Amino acid sequence: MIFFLLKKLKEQEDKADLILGLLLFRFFDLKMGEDNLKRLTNGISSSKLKKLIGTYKKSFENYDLDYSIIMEKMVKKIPEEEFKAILNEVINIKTSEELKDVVETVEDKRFPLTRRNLNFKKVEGFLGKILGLASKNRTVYFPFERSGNLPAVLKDEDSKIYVEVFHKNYYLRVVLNVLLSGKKSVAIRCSNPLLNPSFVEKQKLKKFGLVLSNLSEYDRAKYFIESPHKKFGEAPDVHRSRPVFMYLNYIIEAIEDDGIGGVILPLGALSRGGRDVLFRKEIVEKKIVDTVIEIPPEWIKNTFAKYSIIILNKNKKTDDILFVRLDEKIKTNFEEIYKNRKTVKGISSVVKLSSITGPQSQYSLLPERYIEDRHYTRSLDEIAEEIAETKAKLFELDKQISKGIEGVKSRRYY
Amino acid sequence: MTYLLHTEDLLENNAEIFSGLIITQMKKTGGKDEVKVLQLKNITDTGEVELDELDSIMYYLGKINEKYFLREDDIIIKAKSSNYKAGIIKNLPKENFYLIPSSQLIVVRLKEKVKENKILPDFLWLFLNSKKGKKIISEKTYGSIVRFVKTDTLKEIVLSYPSIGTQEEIVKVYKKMMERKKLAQKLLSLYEEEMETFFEIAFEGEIK
Repeated sequence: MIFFLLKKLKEQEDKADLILGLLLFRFFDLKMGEDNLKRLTNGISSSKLKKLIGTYKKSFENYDLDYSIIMEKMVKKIPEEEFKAILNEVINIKTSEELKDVVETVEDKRFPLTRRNLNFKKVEGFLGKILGLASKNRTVYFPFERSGNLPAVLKDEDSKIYVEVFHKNYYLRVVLNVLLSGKKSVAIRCSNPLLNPSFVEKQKLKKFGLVLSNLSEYDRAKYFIESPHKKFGEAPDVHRSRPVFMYLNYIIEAIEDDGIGGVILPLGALSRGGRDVLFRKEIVEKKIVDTVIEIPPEWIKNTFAKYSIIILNKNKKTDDILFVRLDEKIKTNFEEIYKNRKTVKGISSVVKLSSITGPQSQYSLLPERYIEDRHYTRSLDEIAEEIAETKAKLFELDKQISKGIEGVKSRRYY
Repeated sequence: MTYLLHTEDLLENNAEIFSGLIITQMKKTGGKDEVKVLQLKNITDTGEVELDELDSIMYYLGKINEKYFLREDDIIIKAKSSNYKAGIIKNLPKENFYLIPSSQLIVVRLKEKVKENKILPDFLWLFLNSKKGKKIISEKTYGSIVRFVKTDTLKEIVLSYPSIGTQEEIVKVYKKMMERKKLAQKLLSLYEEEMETFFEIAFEGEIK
């Protein structure tokens, strides 16, 4: 039974990948105002796909994509009739708005939300918004990408963006989300940068003005046999037993000397003892950490884990770190706090580096350690009064609703 | 319920039904007037239409057929979406506000006379979002990737409805139920605030 279920799921994944590939080609067709996809009406094969890809490559030179993965994902054994039905539906899509909606639906089926695949859209949107302005005239790099949401939320359509997709299973999804967001100049490759970075110049890792990544789901299992970042030898050293710092380390290394970075990562990584302290010591003392933001737990559903955003700045002028703790219940003007580096009781705190490097601090970067507790502005009596008022209104509504239901029930019409 | 739904009629006889406009083409043309665009994302899961975060395009007002400007009480159906929902237009700003539907939406506009003495827009909206309404619509959708609803199939829907007086009462009860739900949520957050304030004061020894 289990074998049967797994097999069925595998077949559906293949089908979803084929659909995503066809949707990508439809995206190209809509941009060109042509119907090249119709060339597959008599069935799909490697040679037909190659010809089709050739047409698109010529017209979209600014999209540097890995077409071999796209081909691999599309040439699947699917019954001819089923293929034709899918193709017909894809060809019937007439606008990019429709295309976006279909992509979202197929994504929901292909990548259902599980514990390991939580929905980070809101956090990614927030990070894109706060650092989006900084993207102007910079090259922007997204390593370890899985969904394409983070590059898509970046507002500046003219920035040249580089995306490195973590695994080929995510490739089509990322490509579609990035291209549908209207980015004009993109390079999207597929590899694990820790082992084999795609963007390298003269045997050195390429540097970027802005680097953004979501490390909430970094892979614990495979990639820490060696410390590959060492081959470029600039970033702080990290022991291989701390994978999250290997990823973070790589990101720091990819940032230009006057560049910035933004990373989503589990809150726990900011305060653990042991070897973690050494890594934090290094990034704090090198003045790379600009801001640490604690994300409200309500932003990521289906998990008890807490997450944070850490903003890195290699050209930081001040001798402090801004800590912010966002709370859904408290109205916060984050932009003002961030722009002016303001301390607001209960919400943010600008902390001198000397307070973080002290012997007791263990270089902890947990916002709650540095932010003073917020006093609630209302007294218990005021709250009790509002509770009583609300209850009275509810009581009155209950009565009206019961009466209304009776009224509807008693009506007779023939 | 003891009352009977006493009338049956085709939706087509009572309403104007049409799909939205292809916005990408309009964007390419451009123009001097600002036109707001209603999209799938503006219709919430509870069937409310959010007018605060509308996208807009520049186009010529004179080039758009009058019927496409959305009006108060228009019912909007997500026609090409994985997530079917009907919304209703309420509190439309009166001046210099031109709102058009995008092509993924279908507009159901009840005729003026029908609204007065036959079917209330709010009642039709509730019906289209009810289990029964969804079932009728889903039987008429097609597409294996995304469910598509066609304007023609909407026209064929047979509506069963009670008298206008009963409709008024049903809508009234529904609105009160929604109000009650919001108040109950507010009460819960007040309890939470009370608890947190209590403990904060208690640990500082400020309770006398």
